[in-house]
Order: sequence, then structure tokens, then C-alpha cells
Amino acid sequence: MAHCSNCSRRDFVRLALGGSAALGMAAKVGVPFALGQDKTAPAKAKACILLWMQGAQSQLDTWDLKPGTEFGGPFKPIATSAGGVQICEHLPRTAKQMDKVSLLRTLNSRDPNHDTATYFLHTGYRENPDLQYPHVGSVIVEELGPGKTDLPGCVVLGGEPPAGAAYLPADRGPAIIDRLTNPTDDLLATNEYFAKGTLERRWKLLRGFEEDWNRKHADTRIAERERTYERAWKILSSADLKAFEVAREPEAVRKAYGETPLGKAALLARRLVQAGVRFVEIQYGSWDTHSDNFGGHKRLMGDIDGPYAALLEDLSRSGMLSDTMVILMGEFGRTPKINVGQGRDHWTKCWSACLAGGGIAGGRVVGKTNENGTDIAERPVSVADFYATIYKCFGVNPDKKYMGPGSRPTRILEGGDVVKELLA
Amino acid sequence: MIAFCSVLLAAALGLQARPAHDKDSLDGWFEDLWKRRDLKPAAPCDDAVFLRRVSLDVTGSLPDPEEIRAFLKSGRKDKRPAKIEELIASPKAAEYFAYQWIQWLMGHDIDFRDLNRLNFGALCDWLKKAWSEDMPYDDFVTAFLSSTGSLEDSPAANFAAKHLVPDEPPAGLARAAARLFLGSDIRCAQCHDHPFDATTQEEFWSYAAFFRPLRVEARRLVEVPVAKPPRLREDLGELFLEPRFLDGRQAEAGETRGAAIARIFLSVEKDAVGRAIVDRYWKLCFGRALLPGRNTKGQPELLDLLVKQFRTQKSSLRGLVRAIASSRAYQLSSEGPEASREFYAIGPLKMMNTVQFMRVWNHAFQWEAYFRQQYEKHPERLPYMKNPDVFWISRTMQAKEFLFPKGRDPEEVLANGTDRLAIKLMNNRDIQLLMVAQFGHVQQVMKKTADPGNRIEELFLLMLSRPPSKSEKAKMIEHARSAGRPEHAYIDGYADIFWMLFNASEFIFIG
Repeated sequence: MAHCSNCSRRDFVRLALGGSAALGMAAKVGVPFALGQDKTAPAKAKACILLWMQGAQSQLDTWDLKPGTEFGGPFKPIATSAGGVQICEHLPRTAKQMDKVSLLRTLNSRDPNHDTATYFLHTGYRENPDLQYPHVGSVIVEELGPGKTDLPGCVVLGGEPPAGAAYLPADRGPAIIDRLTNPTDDLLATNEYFAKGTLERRWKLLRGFEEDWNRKHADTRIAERERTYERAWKILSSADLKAFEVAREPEAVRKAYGETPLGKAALLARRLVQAGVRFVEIQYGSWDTHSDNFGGHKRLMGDIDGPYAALLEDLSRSGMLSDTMVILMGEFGRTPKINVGQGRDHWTKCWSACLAGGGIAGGRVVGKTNENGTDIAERPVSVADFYATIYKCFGVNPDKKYMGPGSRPTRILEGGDVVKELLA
Repeated sequence: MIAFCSVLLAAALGLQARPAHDKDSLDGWFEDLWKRRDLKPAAPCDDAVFLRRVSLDVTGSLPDPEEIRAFLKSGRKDKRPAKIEELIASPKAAEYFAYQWIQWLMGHDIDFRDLNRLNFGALCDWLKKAWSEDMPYDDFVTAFLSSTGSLEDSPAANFAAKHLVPDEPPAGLARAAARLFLGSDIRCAQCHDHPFDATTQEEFWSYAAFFRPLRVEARRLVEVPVAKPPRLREDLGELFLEPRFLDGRQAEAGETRGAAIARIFLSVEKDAVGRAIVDRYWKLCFGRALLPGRNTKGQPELLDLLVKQFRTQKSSLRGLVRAIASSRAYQLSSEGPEASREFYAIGPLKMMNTVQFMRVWNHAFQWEAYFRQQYEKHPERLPYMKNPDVFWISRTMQAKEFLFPKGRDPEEVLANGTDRLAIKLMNNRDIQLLMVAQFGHVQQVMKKTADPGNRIEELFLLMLSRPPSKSEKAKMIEHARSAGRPEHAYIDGYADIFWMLFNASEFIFIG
């Protein structure tokens, strides 16, 4: 530390930019690696599990109940393990884990369209027809580096994410596993449908066969393709693929998560993070209850309560929660006003998200909506603020610029202030 | 000998015979370049390579085994020029032209909303006709810039309809038209004066103003009177200005909006429209641009020469494709060091583009046969199959979702490849199962012949458009025998070989 006590921050930046030797020195003397990081505690989060509530949850029927008011609806609040914090009666197991969770009640945006809002909430950027921004998971993989595994750094289960690697290297993009019920279609298929050893036999046949043609047509694009195939083969032949075999877990653990598609996916997410995957997103829905909002929400809360609570409890018990962030959110909220079909429509003025672990405080509520839930009363949090907070926990410098297509420098995040109340 | 051949070739094409070293001919230009650079051009590619290359570039499809056998056997001296003519005149070429142009016109983000909102069937028919009738390119461009009316009766209007967003200024359409027809990327200027580009934000919005009267109403593209919007879209950088092109020109007295913008486009300095289209087709066939880029010098002189020829040949796109495919540079072997590619001393090598890939993909897995069968059984389940073109476009969209990650231009993804694509090709469940389906090539080839050597030859012809070499054949016969199990009629071994063929670089690259 003595070496650096006389350095200004600018000196440090200059040193760091000077090359790896300077970086090596900086690391030795304990200077935070990420440029532009301030003096607060070092980043805690190393991995993230995002439970994406596709279609948008009704905040008034889940995390921010207004019983007895005009738009309150029929559900009752219940006490939780987080002091005075109350959530919906249909989330009883989750209620017991709320001491680990910070409840953010004042997210807001101006985008009531599913597609564009989903994009916004996955990238921190509004859609731009000429520039695609990367998925938050791809940014985290790029900044923290892939984990110690042959598996992809970012995995999406149960649906198509709205964004990919964009201008980041292709292997930072989400590996997409379309089906929750059979998540191994691409990864284990040959072994599942053909005799053991088939894929390896084919791989050897291919390598032997194409060597001659590839050599005669020496070209960087062919070399690049060979590397891509090598990476794919590394994944397909990796011992870490057994992370996908959820059945290896003890029965008690499987039961705690629930033998449902979401329960299995949540357990798989934990296994993937354990294997070294940085970012796992699970898509679940649809919460888009324009009619029969209460029937739909009661059913869906029944689906998520067990898996979400089991995940928090499991991660906390094993100690993984200290560096694994768990986020549960959707693209916006639902209208306070109940429509003629007993449904709720799209609402962007205020909605809730749950964060836990990886440097996020437990048992807190941040932001307050007004009496009947129609607007924010205190502490609005923008999507940019939300992402500034997440990146802060991961030690990602939001001011860093990537070079986009057409040599267009693009910041990791535009604007946004860290929501300090969310930090542990 | 070479000079004699090119004279023959030119004669066969009905072109005016020129002396071989005339720098105004494409071949002469290259010979001069190689001489100046002291480069020795590669040998001509062999017939099988030529047939695969030209079939993919002209029709977007692979030749079938019978066609390959006939072509290899033929002793006709003019078999290459004759094949080029045959392919250009084939319905497959018109189809490829239409599908390729739909990608260019509509961008790579077509989705199901567009499929219902726009009339792809009518546009596809119109494009096919444009190819078959060899519509002069200026008329083609004019149609897209000035057509209005019903999206069915005036199919070119679908281009503008795709790029207009309700209640938004026409920035997307302005960008698309400039990029597609002028080859210039002015997107940065929409929001700010760009430090490297000549176009300013004011110029951008003056140009975009030409498209302000356009609206899509009840499946028609209509022109309505322009009024200043109550609030400008600051987030889009919007400015409200009089229509004026990037070079300052405006509509003339009495000229309609459509006529004015088409006239202005077609008379931009240095024939930007001609240069853009020649460059586009050159890139399609050679995988490299002639226009200089940010990091590449291009070949501006060669571009000038080609544009001159293109204009003397009545701006014929068929003529342009013919000229490129007939050139000596196009017909060279693509084997050799990468550095030689810069000066075209070896033949073109490129990854298939999305349309080629999807067509070949459909062919490899017999998707079309499968869906036709399904449609005959349950027409209500496959409504788009009523028009096979529209069905094909919808399949491409779905397959893109399936094969290419979101947020990246599929062309770029194919060029670089992604882990996801590789994993899918290597191990996707559906592909694994389709590979050995009853209607698939493996089973069909096994039914057709019992001889292992013939089976392997057939699979090679189907996928790589060439017979296997002697040693390849021996190795594959051995593999089929050792990997397959007699109780499964050795299908495992042939499935391995088929898998190997569609995962090989030689399959996805056009060498």
C-alpha cells in the first residue's frame, strides 16, 4: 500500500492503462482492479441468477399490497421474516426468506410495451434500431471473465432472451436452453438418443476429414470457425455438463425446490453457478393477466413460491448467497385499476423487484408508493439506477466504453445512480 | 491458350470479342493487376468446385447429384458459360433473387407481425418477375422509392411500409433507403453531427422529410399532407425541415414526391446507385467489397470499370451476375494463401449467406418435403404453406431465431460462427432425429443403393457437390462398417458421415 499512497487516481489510471505490468503491480498492492471504482468496499457479487417474471407481475398482488383500498384486490398481506415487511399471502414460503431480500417498490419507466420494455430491463438501454446492446449477463461475463468452467458464461433457461452478446465477443452471448422441461436438448441430445460415445466418434471423424481442405484453403475465417467448433466441443464434452443432471441431487433437495419445471430450473441454476457459470436467467410466466388477474396470479405465485424460497434458503445455507445475486423481476407492473374482465393492464409508473445476495442488504424495503398504489410517494428508482446498483455489486465500471459497430464508443450504462440503500 | 479461351468465352456469351489484354475488359484488368503486382494467378478451379460455386451464387442452391454427374462427364468446351446461362434462366435463380432481396429490403428483423401486416407473397412474385424479365435496375430502384397504393397491387410499396413506424418520423425508412440504394450509412447523423461522416443532423432530417407524407393505412401505402407534429421526438433527434436531399437538391416544380426522390437518387454524383449495386453483387460473389471501407482499401478502379459495363448493358442485374461469374478471377481455384485473395489471384472463398444457408439447410434435412406432407394432412396447422414463398420466409424467420442469437446480424454471425450455432449443428435433438428420419437423405440413399461406396459417393454429392477422393471413400467405407451395427443396417455409420459432411467447413464455406 505504501507504494501507492502518493499516487493520485489519475496516476493509477495511467499506470493501469500502461499495460499488464502496471496492472500486476496494482493487484499486488491491493488497488481495486476496475478503473473508476470509488473507495467503498470491494465488489461482492461473482454470479447472478435472474428469475425473469415474463409478462409483468402485478405489484399490488405480490410485493406491494394495498388491502382495503380502491384497487387493493382480494389478496391479504402476511408478515415476513423481515420485521415489518409484508407480502402476499400466496407467497408463504418466500415470506420466511424475506430477511435475505431487499424489496424495491419504486422501479419505473415509460415503456408499456412488452418487447421493448423486456429489452430495456435486460440491457439498461432503450431499444435503438441501429445499435444492439448486450444482455446484462454478457456484460458481466465480459467484465468478470468466464468462470472456472468449460460451460458458457451466461445461460438462459426456458425462453429466448431479448438481447444477445451484441458487440461483445460472440461467446459472451447467452447460451439459450429453450425448454424448461427438457433443458438438455442441445447439450446432451446425442448421448440421450444415440449410443454412448457417438458424439466423440463423430468429432474425431470430422477433425480427420476436414484437416486437408481447411489447410488448402488457409483463411482466418476458417481458423475462426475451427476455434468456435473447438469451444463447442469443449462444452459438449465437458465434465461440467453433469451440472445439468439435476437428478443427481439428493431427494430432499429436489423436493425442497419442487419437482416442477420451475423447481428443476431453479435447482439447475444453482448447480450451474456452482460449476462456475456467471449468469443464469430463468424465464417464467406469463404474468400478463389482462383478464382473471387474481386467478392467474394465485396460480403463478403458487408456482414460484417454493422454488424461489428454496433457492434463497439453499444459497444462504451453503454460503453461496454472499457472492451470488438473486434477482426476481419483470418488465413493468400492472395497473391499479381492475378492468371489466377482472384483469390488470400494463403499468409503468411504479412496480416492484426483489434483490438478494452478492452485496445486497437483506430485509429492507426501498421506495414507497402512495396510499392506493397509483404512484410513487418516495424514492423513485429508474432502470438506469437499478443497473448502476447491480453493476456496482459486481465491480463493473458503468463508464467503461466498448467499441460498437461503426467505431461507435458505447458506455456499459448511460446515467443512473447507485441505490445505496440496497447495499449491505 | 488462356487468351484464346477468353475470346471463346466472350463469343459464347454473345459479347463483343475484345483483345485479351484490353484493360477495359474484366479479365484484362485482372491480368494487368497481377502483372503489376508480380502475382501468378491460381489454376482454374475444377468443374465440381465451379458448379457448386456458381449454383450457390446464382440460384442459392446446391446442384443435385445427377446434375453434377452430367456436368463432370460433359466434354463440351462451352459447358461453363452454358451452365451460367442455364442457371440464370432457371426458376431457382428468380426465387433466390427474390428471397435475397427480401432480406436486403426488409432487414434481418422480419417477424410474424410483418408477415401479417405486409404482403410478402406479392412482393416475392414481383421480385421474381423483375429477375425473369431482367428489369433495368433504375426502374427497380424507382419502384421502391416511389410506389404507393395497395400492398398487394403495388408490391414494391411493401419496402416503405416495412420501415415506417406508426406515429414516428420516417427516420428508419430514410436510413434503409440510403443504405440499400446509395450504399451509404448515415445513421449517426440522425441524432448528431458525426465526427467522421460528412452528413449533418440537419441534412439527415431534410432528406428524411421526403418520406414524411407516407403512411400505412388499411394495407395501403398512402401519401397524406404534411403538418408539423405537435411535439418533435427529441429521443430520435427529430428536426422538422423542408424536403431537401443530402446534396441540397429539391423536387422540381410540378414533380411528385416519389418521382423527385427517385430522380435525385439516380443522379447522385458519381453514380452512387450503380456503384452500390455493383459492389453489393461483387461482395455476394467474392465475399469482399470493392468500395473502400473504414479498414479496407477496396478496388475503386475495378468498381468504376464494372459500373461502366453495367450501365452499357442497360443496368441489367442478370448481366452483372453473368459478367462476374464468367470472369477468370471468379473461376480460379480458391486454394492458396490468404494474402493472394486481396488481389484476386486465387478464387473466391466465403461463408454461405443466410439465404443460401437456409436453402441448403432445407435441402439437407428435407424440410420442404416434410412440411408439404404435413400441410396436405393438416392445412389449418400450416396456414402460411398456402403460398410456399411466404412459408419459406416464415421458416427462415423461425430458423433464424433457432440458429442465430438475438441482436446480431445473421450475416455477421455466419461469418464468425457462434458457439451456439456450432452446438446446435453438432448436437441439437431435432437435427439428430431428422438426420435419420425416413424421408431424410441418409435413409433414402441407403434405400437407393446397397453398395457402401455408392452410398458414400451419393452423400458426398448431395452435401459437398463432389465425389469423394479415393482415400476418402476408403476411409468412409471403413467407418460405416466399424461404427454401424448390422442389426441397424449400419445406419449409425452413415449418420456419422452425414453429420460430418454438414459440420465440415467445406460444407458451409463456398470455396
